[in-house]
Order: sequence, then C-alpha cells, then structure tokens
Amino acid sequence: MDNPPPLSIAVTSVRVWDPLVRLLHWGLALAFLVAWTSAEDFMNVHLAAGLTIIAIIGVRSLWGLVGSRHARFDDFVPTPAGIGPYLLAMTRRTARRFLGHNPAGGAMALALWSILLATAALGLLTHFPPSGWQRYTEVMEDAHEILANIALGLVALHVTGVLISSLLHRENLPLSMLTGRKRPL
Amino acid sequence: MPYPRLLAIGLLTGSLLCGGYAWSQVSNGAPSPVPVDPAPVLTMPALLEKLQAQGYRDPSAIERKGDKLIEVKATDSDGRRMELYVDARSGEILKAERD
Repeated sequence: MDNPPPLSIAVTSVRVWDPLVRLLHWGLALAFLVAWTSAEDFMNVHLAAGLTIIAIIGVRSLWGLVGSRHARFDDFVPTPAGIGPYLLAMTRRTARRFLGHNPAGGAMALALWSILLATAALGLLTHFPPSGWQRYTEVMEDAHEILANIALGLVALHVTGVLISSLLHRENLPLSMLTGRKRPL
Repeated sequence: MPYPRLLAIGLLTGSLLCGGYAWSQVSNGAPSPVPVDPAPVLTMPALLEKLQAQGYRDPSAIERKGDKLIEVKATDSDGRRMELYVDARSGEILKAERD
C-alpha cells in the first residue's frame, strides 16, 4: 500500500520582494552609478541618469502605497524610537530577523530615496535655474555635490548593513534582492 | 493617515514636481546651461546702424535664425561682398566670409 501524502511540505523559501521592487532597486543602483561616473564630463548622460532616479523614486513611492505587502511603506517604515534599539541589538547580535526590511533597512531606504531625490532636484535647479535664481547656481551646484557625497556614504552604509544582517542571520540578502525569495521566518 | 503613507506621498509629490519641472524646461527648448538674462533682440534699424558703423553697406538678404543669430549679406569697406553672421542681441559680427 502506498504511503499517505505528507500533510505539509517543508517550505524552503517564500516570496518577499516582488519583481517591480527588485527592478527598481537595481535600476536605482545603476542610475546612481551612472550619474556618479558621468558627472562633469557627460552632461547629457548625467541628466538622463538624474531623470531616471527621479522616475524610479516616483514609481517606488507609488508602489509603496499600492504595491505588494513588503513593498509598502506601512510594512517597513520604522518609528524613530524603533531604530535605535534595533541598531543596538545588531551590535549585540540579538537583532530579530525580518522578512521585509528590518527597521534599520527601512530607515536606510527612506534616507537614500530622500537624499537622492533632493540631489536630483538640486541638479535640475542648477542645470535649469528658474528665472532670477541664476545668481545661486554655484551654491545649488555645491549643495548638489554635497548631497551626492552623502548619498554615496549612505550607499556604503547600506551595503555594510546588508552584509552585517546577512552574516547575522546566515542568509544572502543581495541574492534575495535578485530572486525575490527568502527563507521563511 | 499613518505617517509611512504620508512619507510615500511626500516622496511621490517631490518626484512628480521634479519630473514636471524637468519636462517644462526640456519642452521649452531651453537647454542653455548658462542662462543669463537675455538682452532684447536688436531691431532691424539698430542692426543696420551697427553694421554701417563697421563699414558695411548695401545690406541684403537679411535672415533671422531664431532669436540668437542673424545672417546678412553686405559689402565691406574694400568693396567685397560678404556674408555676415551677427549676434541678434549684441550686433557683434560672429563670422564674416566671402559670399
């Protein structure tokens, strides 16, 4: 007689990041890389990269309102009071594992999008100053560059955080951002 | 409304404003990265006066190329027929070549 079918199948991975989240994540990374490397020398490419960054942040924030569960801002935007204790727990290696963004990751995503959008906005105002703003072009350009440097610093911090979280919870977070799948909680 | 959603709406609004501004600038055909308050375009009499002051006479075939450039044919002080490319705002001769 045949064995009865198992009552439950061990789930080895679950879907976390939908395709749009992944596309926008890597698209934003690529656009920032292109914007960074084309600055000063290839203005048309630089401008196109900046516009792409603006478009990606626009679509991502819309998706943060209407998208899949872990794409929504409701799912990952931390309370300011929640970030500190989570970072502390990370240093003690007792940080809880999350399927979506953990509080530090959620804060980082928000910070990156905000800084990148502000950087792009200042870049636009530098390149196309509104009438009467011409005298501030240099100030806006300086601010644009400072924000771009802050963004680069945040990217470095983001990658560091991803590596630490990956080691802490023995999972490959960059791979999850490619496949969309993670080990279940 | 919960504040995560407010943040999303804030970012969305910001990106729409940026995109709209960029669109308005690009579709205006204003790619000039060095925008200075432009001087008014010279009137025809003022332009001809400026050319005359530089020794040109008998201007003909005056063509306006947008609001930046004017092409005009004129005879120089040596009697040669020249084709001139003139800045439409300053009246400066940018290029002069034998017609």
